[in-house]
Amino acid sequence: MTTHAKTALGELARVRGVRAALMASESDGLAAASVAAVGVAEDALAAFAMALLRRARMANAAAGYGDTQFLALDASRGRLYVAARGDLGVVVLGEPDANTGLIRVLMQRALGGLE
Amino acid sequence: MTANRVRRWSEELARDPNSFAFVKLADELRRRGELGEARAVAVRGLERHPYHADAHDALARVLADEGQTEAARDEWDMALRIDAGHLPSLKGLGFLAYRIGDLASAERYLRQARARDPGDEGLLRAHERVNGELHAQRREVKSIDGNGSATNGNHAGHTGPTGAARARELFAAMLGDGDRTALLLDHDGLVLAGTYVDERGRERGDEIGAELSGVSEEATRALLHLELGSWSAILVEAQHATVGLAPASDGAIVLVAAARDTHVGFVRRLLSQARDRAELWLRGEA
Repeated sequence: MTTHAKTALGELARVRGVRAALMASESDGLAAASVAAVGVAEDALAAFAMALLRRARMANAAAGYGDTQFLALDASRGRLYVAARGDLGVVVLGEPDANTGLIRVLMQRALGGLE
Repeated sequence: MTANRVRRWSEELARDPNSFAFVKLADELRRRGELGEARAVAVRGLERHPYHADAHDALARVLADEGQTEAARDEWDMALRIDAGHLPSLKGLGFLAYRIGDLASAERYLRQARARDPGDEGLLRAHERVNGELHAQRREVKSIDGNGSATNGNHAGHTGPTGAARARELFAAMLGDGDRTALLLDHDGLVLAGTYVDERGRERGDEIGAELSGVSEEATRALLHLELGSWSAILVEAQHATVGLAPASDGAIVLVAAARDTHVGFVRRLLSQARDRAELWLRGEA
């Protein structure tokens, strides 16, 4: 894991309401690096987030909407965010009232720094 | 996870090529949007089990997702010749008939399906909705007869919007004139209402639906595992559009899309309105 990735995930994990931040590849759905609170099923989170990203990408391709860059899922007990570039995705699991705007900016920054 | 199921059924087929696991495998691949693979698995299965109604149903579902309506109908017809009361085929044919606006046939198939499975609430609602639209259509025809405004007794296509046409226009009023679209997809990813036409004038709802087939079920299962409760919305930002998804009754999904420069908050609002409208329509009240 690069220093940048460690720093970026650390920054995300410090945002109020964030329970987990990880990087994963879409092709295998496996987490490459993560910072998570105790009790968060990181592997399952990475697998589901990447599967959801893949679905979104295929649907957007079928619709002619171009590449998928960001998605947010609202659930009754939390929010899931995925930002993507190429095969790499940054995944964040947050509380329902987590600061979406800040998280989104930090996720984009995390991906940008990996280029 | 779906990958595990696919692996398990693939292994079962590798061990025993005569296994009926191909039916589940083909349907799982179809739900994942891997239509080419799904079709290949279903066709190979059919070669070994040509008199198995579920095998014809598996292939028909893939063909329906691919937009090959006639071929799908042939497969479901074949399944019914093998098993006259084959429930998935009755549902499939009912759905195809509804999509092309043949409400009488849709009602007949769904009535037969209900007789086979009276406890299926989704089927009950679908039948009631089709029945309601069929009666409304007949009333419209009668009304035109009474007013003497139809000529030569030929009302086809001139009796106001049919049920299928109304379904296509379900979201039109709330979408306005902007670059926006909305679809209601059933749990198999088949388009129930709304429309998506690309810049070349091609209807793309079926393709989008095929890619999203089963996504609600997958999300529900994964969120349960992650202890996140039930999902209420997914917002996706792509290069050229912002897309919103929301769950509706019976595993259906509402999709709205707007040009990328549309504020995300507005897309959320559209999504909420579309979901409310879809729920009314699913209950036969819109």
